[in-house]
Amino acid sequence: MTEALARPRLTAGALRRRRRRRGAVAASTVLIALALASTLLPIYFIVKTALSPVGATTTASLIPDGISFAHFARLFSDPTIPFGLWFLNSLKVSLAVTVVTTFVVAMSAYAFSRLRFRGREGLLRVVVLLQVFPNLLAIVAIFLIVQQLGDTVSDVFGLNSHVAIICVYIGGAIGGNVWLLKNYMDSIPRDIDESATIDGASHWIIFSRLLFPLIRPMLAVVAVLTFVNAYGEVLIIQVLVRDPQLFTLPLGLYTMSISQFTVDFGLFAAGAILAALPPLILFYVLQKWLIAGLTQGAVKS
Amino acid sequence: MRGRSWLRLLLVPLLLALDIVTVMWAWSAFSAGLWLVGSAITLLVVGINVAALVLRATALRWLLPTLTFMLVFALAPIVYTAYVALTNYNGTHLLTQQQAVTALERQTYVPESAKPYSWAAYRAGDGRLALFLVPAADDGTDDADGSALFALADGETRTAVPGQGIFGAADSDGFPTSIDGYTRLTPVEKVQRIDEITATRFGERPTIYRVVSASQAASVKSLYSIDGSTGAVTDARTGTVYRPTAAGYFESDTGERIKPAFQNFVGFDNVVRLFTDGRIRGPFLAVLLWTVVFAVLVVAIQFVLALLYAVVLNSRAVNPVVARVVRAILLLPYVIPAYLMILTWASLFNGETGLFPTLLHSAFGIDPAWVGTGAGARLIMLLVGVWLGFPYFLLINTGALQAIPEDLLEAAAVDGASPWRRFRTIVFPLLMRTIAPLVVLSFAFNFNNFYLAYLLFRGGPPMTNAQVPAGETDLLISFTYKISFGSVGGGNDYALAAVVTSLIFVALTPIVLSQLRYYNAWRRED
Repeated sequence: MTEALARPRLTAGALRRRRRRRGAVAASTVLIALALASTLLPIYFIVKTALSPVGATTTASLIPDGISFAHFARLFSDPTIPFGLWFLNSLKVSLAVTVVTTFVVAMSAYAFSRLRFRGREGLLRVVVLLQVFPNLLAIVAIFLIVQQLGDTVSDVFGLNSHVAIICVYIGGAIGGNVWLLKNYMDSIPRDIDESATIDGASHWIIFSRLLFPLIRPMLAVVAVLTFVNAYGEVLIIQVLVRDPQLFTLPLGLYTMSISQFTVDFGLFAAGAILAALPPLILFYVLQKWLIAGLTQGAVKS
Repeated sequence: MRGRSWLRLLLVPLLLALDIVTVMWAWSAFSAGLWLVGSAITLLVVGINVAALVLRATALRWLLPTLTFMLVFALAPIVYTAYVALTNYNGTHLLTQQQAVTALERQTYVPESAKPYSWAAYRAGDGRLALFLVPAADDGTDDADGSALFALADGETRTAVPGQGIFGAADSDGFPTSIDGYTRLTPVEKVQRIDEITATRFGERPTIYRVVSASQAASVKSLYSIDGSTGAVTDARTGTVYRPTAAGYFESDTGERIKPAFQNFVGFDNVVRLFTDGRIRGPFLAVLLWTVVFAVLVVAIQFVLALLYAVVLNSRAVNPVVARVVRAILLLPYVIPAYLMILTWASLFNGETGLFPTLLHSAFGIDPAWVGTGAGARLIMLLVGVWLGFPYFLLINTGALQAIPEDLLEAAAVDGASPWRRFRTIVFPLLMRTIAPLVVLSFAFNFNNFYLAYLLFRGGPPMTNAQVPAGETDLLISFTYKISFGSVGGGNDYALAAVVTSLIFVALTPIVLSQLRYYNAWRRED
């Protein structure tokens, strides 16, 4: 820039262009600063609140009241807040949902992509359409169905059960992901498995030995998205689970936030930061894959 | 194939076991009147058997897990919602008629001729209750049939003689000091478990023993007899006949009702109620309007803002490394679980202690009460909605923008097209082709943005003069949730909630159809 300024003669056009360019830089700097500030403000607020000393929490100020890890310590020492248990429950539920969903989705994506059978089109259409309706929408019916399953089939599938909540989450996660993975599989040339079929390989061999390594990147996307969704779900589990021993992190933190809102928001803030870490780490470590997967699956142009 | 024949051998008994269990499940569902659960289970059993036994059903084997989960937890809820909308299912009418009858059959009364017993409660190792009954001598007569009894909860009754068999010697009240395999409840335990004890039926039909007071028990009789063909219920004490009504009650000729009531098919009554009862229709229409306005505004603002930023961050005015770092930071709201950030925003905008109302008050003297008004709360909801959705739009806009071939723009520039003209005639149309379906989906998402509506202000502030729990920032989806599970006003009206939910399904149909067209467009490509 300074080098350019040092140059003596400039045409009027070049000058205008340079002025405009400098204006663009200034405008974009202001815009970016605004966006960063509004994105980071609530995040800064929650970090500041979490680190404030117990009792000194003033939610109505942006200036830190000091730095203390007392809130974090209390999360793991106060017996009325079984934070560790909630965390384990969350991991258990989300991991179960992730493993089953990923496997089940891979199987049906294989069927939709590689097998030709009657009703394939129609079925695919139903699967795609169901994903438009979030399963939260039918929460009343889900509640009643789970209750009835508990009454007639087994408590394992009824209210206050992790198995039931895992099944409900899986049911809600499959639709969109089948679509995502099926499209990805379609992009893998069929010649590969056709030559294997001629060599006498069964579907299972083709799926597990040939295709599985190729779809792994998209499978990772499916797994992470499923995990993050299940890990952050609070409203379905709020209806299906009442036993505090079975609470997941979101449900625990939510009950905490409504019961202690004005009392000690610092505790919630500390919990929120810890709860946000797993998806945060997952996302930024796998960022490249995820964004590619997201845009590829969603906007295949 | 031959190598796996032992697998097939193993399969048969496994399948048989599964069939037996599932048929029992289906049977218990059907006999309780839960046809949906029953038919879902039946369908599953059939599917599993076909998949396992029909060699040609390859595709079914691969799809079965998906079909199972989607059938029970995605499709059945939608079907069931539509069905519930046509019933009177609510907090009063919880049970099916069969379940209500079963509950009535369990009700008992103490006939005047009943012989009084004094009782002591015991518990078995597994916690099951048992009752030791000693004939009470308070009527003064020396009863010939005065043997003591030992009755298990919902189990057998036998005559018991203290000091014989499993029974230890009697104490001063005639109760055995010990019974093998059972422990007598301490007075404290007795008090703690008194509700459970009084609710338990000891012995088997026809002679049931129940605890009637802290000291007395008696043999009781079934209160109601049920006519299997007409479904009419007769009170054994009074002889009154209660007939099942269309409204879902057991009602006598004089209009007297007994509990529990049951669910019944009421057709479009709920729909009529939603649209004619002013204290339901008013709030419903207000919520509907806000839902549409909110979804449109949020998507429009997000889209425009994100497009602006995508263009800016993609432009030559910004250093590419800086742009990448900024994008990563702006992605944060998308990466942090939404519920956490919504709850944080709720705290920031808390009317009494929140950061923003307080700052605005001290800086400009604005009364923090604005947060609690309908307009104020809606403004905040829009703001938070945009904040949450902006990163996703930035992500897809950036992706689509970068996918536009550079030479196309250069060619236009060489031809003398101004930057704005290039954007308007090349960038934007190309962008819309890829983004449009996602904009539509995002509209559907925000139409149902339950998390935001419920976690931010729980839909509040509440609307006035509403018979249903509706709030100014409620979306239809949180409205149905509050109708179903809310504790204030008209809670547990599942049927009314189902009507609203069904209407959401209908309202979203155009979006579903547009998705379908999109899907068809894709299909032609392969």
